[in-house]
Amino acid sequence: MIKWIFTIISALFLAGGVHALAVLSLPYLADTSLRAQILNAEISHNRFYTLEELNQRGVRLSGHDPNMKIAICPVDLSEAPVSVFAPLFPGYWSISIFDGAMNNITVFNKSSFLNASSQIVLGAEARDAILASDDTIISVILPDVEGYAVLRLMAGLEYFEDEAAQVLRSARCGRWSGN
Amino acid sequence: MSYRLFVITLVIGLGLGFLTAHMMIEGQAFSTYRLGPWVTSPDLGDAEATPYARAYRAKHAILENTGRDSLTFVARQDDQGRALDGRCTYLIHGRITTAGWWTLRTTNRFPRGKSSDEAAGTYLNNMNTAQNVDGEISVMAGPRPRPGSWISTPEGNFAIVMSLYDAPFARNLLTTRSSVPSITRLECS
Repeated sequence: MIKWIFTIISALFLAGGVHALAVLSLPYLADTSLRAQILNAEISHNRFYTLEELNQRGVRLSGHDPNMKIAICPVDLSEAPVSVFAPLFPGYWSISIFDGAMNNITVFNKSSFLNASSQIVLGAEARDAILASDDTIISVILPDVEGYAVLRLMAGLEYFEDEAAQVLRSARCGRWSGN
Repeated sequence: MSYRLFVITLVIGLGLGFLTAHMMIEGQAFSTYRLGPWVTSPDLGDAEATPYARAYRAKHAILENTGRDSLTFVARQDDQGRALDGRCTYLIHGRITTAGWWTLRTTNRFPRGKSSDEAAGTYLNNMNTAQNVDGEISVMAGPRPRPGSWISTPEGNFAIVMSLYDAPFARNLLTTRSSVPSITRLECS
């Protein structure tokens, strides 16, 4: 009887440990994560890819809104800061910045992006923290050298579909050469 | 401990551990809010997300904006708690408040399902959906086209996904049932 009680208690402790390990390690080990998919697909960093282009390379997101046209730039800050640019668009648009763990750092959208001529420059915390003091750019400092910039557009009406496609083609994500 | 008890400990411990981890990750434990039939995870995209939400994000490759900008609500039941059935027609009625932009769609599974709108081409958003003078929408969701605003439904059980964008105050909705539409079953074929 004592042995069975000890067995059950041991099993519960083991279950607790396995549970915690599984939950905490999954973001780093899952080959379904965006980071793992991009690494496996050997996709170049610092340029925008539409969802269709990513799908062709075997990278798949889930839960995205089919009403939205989406382009993703996997960002690599190991050599230099990266600037992100997209032409303005009459429908809904947003540029979201994520760190390497897919945490959303910030979002710029039609309502919050007050100065249409400003550049968005992404920098790595260890090297580029000084960018935060530059008033001529909008700087986003990431905690590590990896991240993602996601451009979302919603035309809403068929009337704006062609313009949305044009904005996606014109969006730029690349090494920032400084002012 | 005998060898037999050791094996039993191992089997129960590993099985229970992985099973509960899977269930709590898929359920986004401690991360969701419910408003009637609508469920949302406002912190899913945040750095402060729970470990379960982060695991869910990684497992399904989800890039979700912080709840301070946008929110996604998913309904798998109607207001009476019955699972949404693709053979039935539903009325989605009410206001979608505090969002500059919103979309409404159906899907056979979420997040990995296929949106039936992609086949039927029936995307609904704030620009192409009629609203009355009070800002209320009346959308029919069903297998056959209906006059007015209509979205198609896939076969079998499905989910209705409502996404709000440019919604910095959307988190204030999370305590007000009337701030999201109702889902009423009308008829089933």
